[in-house]
Amino acid sequence: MTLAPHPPVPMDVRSVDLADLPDGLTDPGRPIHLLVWHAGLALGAVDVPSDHLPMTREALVQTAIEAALPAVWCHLFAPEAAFLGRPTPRPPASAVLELDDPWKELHKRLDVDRSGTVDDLTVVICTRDRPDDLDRCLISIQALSPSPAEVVVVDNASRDDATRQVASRHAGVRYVREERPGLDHARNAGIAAVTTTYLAFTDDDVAVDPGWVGQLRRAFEAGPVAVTGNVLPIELETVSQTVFEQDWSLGKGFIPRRFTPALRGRGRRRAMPVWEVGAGANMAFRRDIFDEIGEFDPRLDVGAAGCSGDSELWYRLLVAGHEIHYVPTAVVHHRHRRDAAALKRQIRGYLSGHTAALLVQFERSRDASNLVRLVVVLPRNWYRVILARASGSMHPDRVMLPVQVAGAFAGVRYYLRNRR
Amino acid sequence: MVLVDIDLCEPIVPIDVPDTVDGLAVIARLDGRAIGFSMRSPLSGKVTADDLDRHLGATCGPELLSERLRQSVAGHETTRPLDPTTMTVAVCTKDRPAGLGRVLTSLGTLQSSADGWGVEIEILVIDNASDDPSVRAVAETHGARYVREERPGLDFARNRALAETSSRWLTFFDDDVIVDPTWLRGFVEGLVAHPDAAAFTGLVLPARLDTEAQVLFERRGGFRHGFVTRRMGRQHPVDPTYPAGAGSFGTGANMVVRVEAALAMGGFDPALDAGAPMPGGGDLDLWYRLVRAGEVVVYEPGCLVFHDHRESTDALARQFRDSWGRSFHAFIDKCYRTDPPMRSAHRRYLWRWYRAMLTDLARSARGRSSVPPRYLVAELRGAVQGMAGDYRRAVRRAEQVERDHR
Repeated sequence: MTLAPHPPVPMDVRSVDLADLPDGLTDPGRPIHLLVWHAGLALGAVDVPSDHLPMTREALVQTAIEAALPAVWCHLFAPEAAFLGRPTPRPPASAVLELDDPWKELHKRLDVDRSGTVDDLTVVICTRDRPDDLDRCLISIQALSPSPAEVVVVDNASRDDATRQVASRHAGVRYVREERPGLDHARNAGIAAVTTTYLAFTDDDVAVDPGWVGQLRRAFEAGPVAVTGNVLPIELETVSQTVFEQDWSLGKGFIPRRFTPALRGRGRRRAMPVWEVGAGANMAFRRDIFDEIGEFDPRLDVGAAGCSGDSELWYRLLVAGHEIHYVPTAVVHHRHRRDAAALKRQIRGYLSGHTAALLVQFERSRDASNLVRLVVVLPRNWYRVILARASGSMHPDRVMLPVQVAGAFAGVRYYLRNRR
Repeated sequence: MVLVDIDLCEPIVPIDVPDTVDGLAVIARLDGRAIGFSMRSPLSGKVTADDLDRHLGATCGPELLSERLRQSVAGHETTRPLDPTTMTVAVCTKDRPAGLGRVLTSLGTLQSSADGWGVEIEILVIDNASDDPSVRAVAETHGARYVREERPGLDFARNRALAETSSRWLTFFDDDVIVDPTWLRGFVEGLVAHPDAAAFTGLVLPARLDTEAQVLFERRGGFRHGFVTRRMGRQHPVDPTYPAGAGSFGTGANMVVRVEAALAMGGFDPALDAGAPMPGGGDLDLWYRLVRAGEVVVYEPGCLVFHDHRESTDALARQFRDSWGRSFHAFIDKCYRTDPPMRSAHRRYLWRWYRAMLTDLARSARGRSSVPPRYLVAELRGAVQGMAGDYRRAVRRAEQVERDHR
């Protein structure tokens, strides 16, 4: 959490490409959230404070490489590292020295053929009453290279015809309607509508990176049944967007992660950190896995408990012995909620979905670590927030404690009322 | 310990570590630029090239990759020379002719490469009231300008250098360092990347690790502040107490100031860095005042020097007590008195400092720290003394010195 003691402020979101750096960074009068790429591969991000601006090209080279280094190192020398598993031993110095060109080696490992179509992957977007957002999303999907086999829009009981009309305006988009309101019902309808081996979900408030589908598909070659990707902010124009990006980020960083069933065996006190796996705005599956473990659980929907239908599914997948890979180079760009009230509702929803999911997970697996997290770990985290606030390590604008606590209790109440 | 300096652009050669020695310390470079430092002990016998290869990969693999990535992005062209600028290199010294001779000798390469970098260099020796007449002879043998400052105290000497220079930049090296041939390249790169910097601090690595005290000091971190350039301005991204303490800014044994910025700050504070009992703090104090005034201080590890650490454990214990205990806390006391808006940050800083020290002392008592308890106890005692009015006494002492030498 960078800049935690300082007030969250709007920032300029800028991208730089290490393969083609500009002559420095100009000063826009506010901090810059700098996204670091190399020829289309997302490698890092760093917040550049105002007193580092304007920045010379030489300082930018150093800043960008420092931001990208952890990811480049992992891609090159620890690509198979299991999340929270034993660290990969470092190679000898000669391995680093013998690389003819580290950037070329990076691209050799990660690049995919950008032409043509991935004919065994379908993109599914679940949407409700957001035709303008959907339109923007579909425009970005048209720019995907390689392109997906098919695009399915699941209209989750929109109140009018606008969504269907937007879908029909884009070539190659199939429109499906799901009458039962709830994101997890819509996702399940998407699963039913897909005929290809793989499917990828994204949300309507997202613009996908042109390489998104190619990177997801490449990741399946290593054998996981599910793949998640990175979520980067489109803009940080309001304080709420900044707080969301810095403290509640949908993206899980730039280092590739392998989530394995071994995460379960870490003891009764440690719940499987399924909230680290990824975001519903960027996830892909091998379609037949749903036949084995079941579909998304509609009890955990947005509008119901909150929005943890996807994290409960990760839990089920891991418990069933499967692997999930987080692929930071599979990127979507997300527009965060702009106003404080919407942010608070979202955080409340996260926490209520999270506590409800912990209880559902316990119900299904009888793993006590879920309860330990609910009763011990979450309150302890809140206590630390209070301490951080008191000591000045956390700025008050970031402390969302009342909303978190309210959400957590709401989730527990919701679960108790809706137990099967 | 055997101390080796390995540049990885050359093939790695095996090393023999004799039985009389504790272990091996390695300074790792790539194409002249220092990228890592590591110590391995106990270790003796033949260290093969493969062993070293693995050791270097384990201790500075990512740094090595970072440097290769940087070379690939920035191109192999060395940094461009500066628009012509002037620098006075000042060595403040007292009764250490051999050390002075070594510094001045090492400055030879600096001077000969200076024109290529666009820097016009003058070497200035400030003799801080030495009793030994050979100090002057050493300075003159090396063709350095010699100035005698009668008021005893390092910060008096530094202020004299400020008064004597007409250059844009003023560099200070202590009289117990050896300046690396790549120093000037490092400075130029730092300045090109951060043209608005008011001061630079550099990397200080050990010149040798022959005695137990030297090894202990280096194990505790020595004067190292990392191998990555750091820009220090008004605020810190995560530390709410910044810049209280100013400890991680660098070391006065290897620093550069922009003369006009240092003069605007009123120079160095002669109450600090005044020799026993206040042998420190003067450098931290200037950097602290600079960043509080909105200036930028840059830690540039490309400015590399090697330092002769204290040889005896008694001298090291005194250093813990007087430099990092008393002087450091007298400096914090001064900041607390003279910078009211930062008071709560200082209180928080001190709370954290004491908590870390006591934790370390407890670990040290169980044998799990880098230094034995004796040194930490000395540091704590010095700290308590330093807070108890030491700064005010130091100010009065400095005023007395000024009066004596009018």
